[in-house]
Amino acid sequence: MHISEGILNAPVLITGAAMAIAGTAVGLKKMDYDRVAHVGILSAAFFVASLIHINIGPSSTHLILNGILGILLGWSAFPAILIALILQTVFFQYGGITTLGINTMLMALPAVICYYAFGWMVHHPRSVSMIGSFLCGFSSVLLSAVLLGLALVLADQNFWSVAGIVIAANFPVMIVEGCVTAFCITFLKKVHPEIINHSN
Amino acid sequence: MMLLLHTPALAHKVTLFAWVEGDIIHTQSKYMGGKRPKQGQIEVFEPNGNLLLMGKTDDQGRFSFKTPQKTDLQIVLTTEPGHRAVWNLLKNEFMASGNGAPDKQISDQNSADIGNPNQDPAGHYGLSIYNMSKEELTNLIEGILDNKLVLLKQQVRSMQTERISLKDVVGGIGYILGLVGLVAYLKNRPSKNKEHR
Repeated sequence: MHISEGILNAPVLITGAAMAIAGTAVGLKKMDYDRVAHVGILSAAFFVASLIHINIGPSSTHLILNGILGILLGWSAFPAILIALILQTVFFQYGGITTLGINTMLMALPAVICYYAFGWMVHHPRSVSMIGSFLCGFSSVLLSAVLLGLALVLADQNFWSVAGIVIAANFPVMIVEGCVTAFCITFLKKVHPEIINHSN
Repeated sequence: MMLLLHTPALAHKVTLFAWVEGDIIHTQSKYMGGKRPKQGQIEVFEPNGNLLLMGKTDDQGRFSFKTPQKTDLQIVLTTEPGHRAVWNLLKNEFMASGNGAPDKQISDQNSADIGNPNQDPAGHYGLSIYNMSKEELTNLIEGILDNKLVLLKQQVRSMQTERISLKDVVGGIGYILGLVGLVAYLKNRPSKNKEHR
């Protein structure tokens, strides 16, 4: 889901960068620095997640994990994802330098939106929490796909066909991410419940 | 369902590799992870930026075309959604003379033939090596070298681009841990103006 260099035009890249900087600033302000290690661990998980390929049917995609980052970090998902994307660009040549801003927006904004939409469900008992986490994981990937289509439309491509293709191809990922998010949150609630309670 | 059959692989990165055989330029495109992009768009540009030709990759991610001109060429692959790769083909990859040596006959030869003093490799062409002009000999050698070097170039290319090594992963995680440590240190420095926690 990383957009490569040279596809988007300058206005889109600059807007994406500006919005990413704003989001990261909010994330840094709201970050609980006593728990900076948690942010680091989740950033590392995001960094590594893209190496896990999901080959279902004709499409070959990879885990994104922005749903889990949204629930656990809230706005701090922005700096976590930005750092992970920088490292992915440097080490794996995924995406590009000019596209860092827009790629951060693609992945972090859905995380924050889904945090606000579904994060409250996690504090409730078991089945509500599982459904909430599944929806969070599912919708984060869905929103990322929609934003990706939107970004490409601004670079002169047909939104509906591109967004349709992206959403269809990522549908297995949405299901898998939803399940992964649900299991992880349920596990964390049992083992380490304070990780989920934060005032973000 | 038709849409799903044509969905592109949504990996992180797409790579492009191009090579010359005779007067055909072949391109091979791959997603990180091995899948091949179908219907990826290939554009070929000359050095001053003019578009020379366009095409689409087939089911195997390949697209081949006749050499439009023997200059430096830039080949650009664009796949939906949002992946792009570039390969710069240098003009010295093209053969020195105008015509390519016959590809089929060259690929039928193996190195045993060339090395064996009792065989006359040029006999395949109905030529005696003593009657060959310098140009024909150059063509012959370039054609053979092209065939042998293509595999080598592909291997080098895949070594450069397709492997994500463990040390890259460990390096990235190391940077994150370092940042965490740095932030924790900066935030926890004792300060005369602040209360101790």
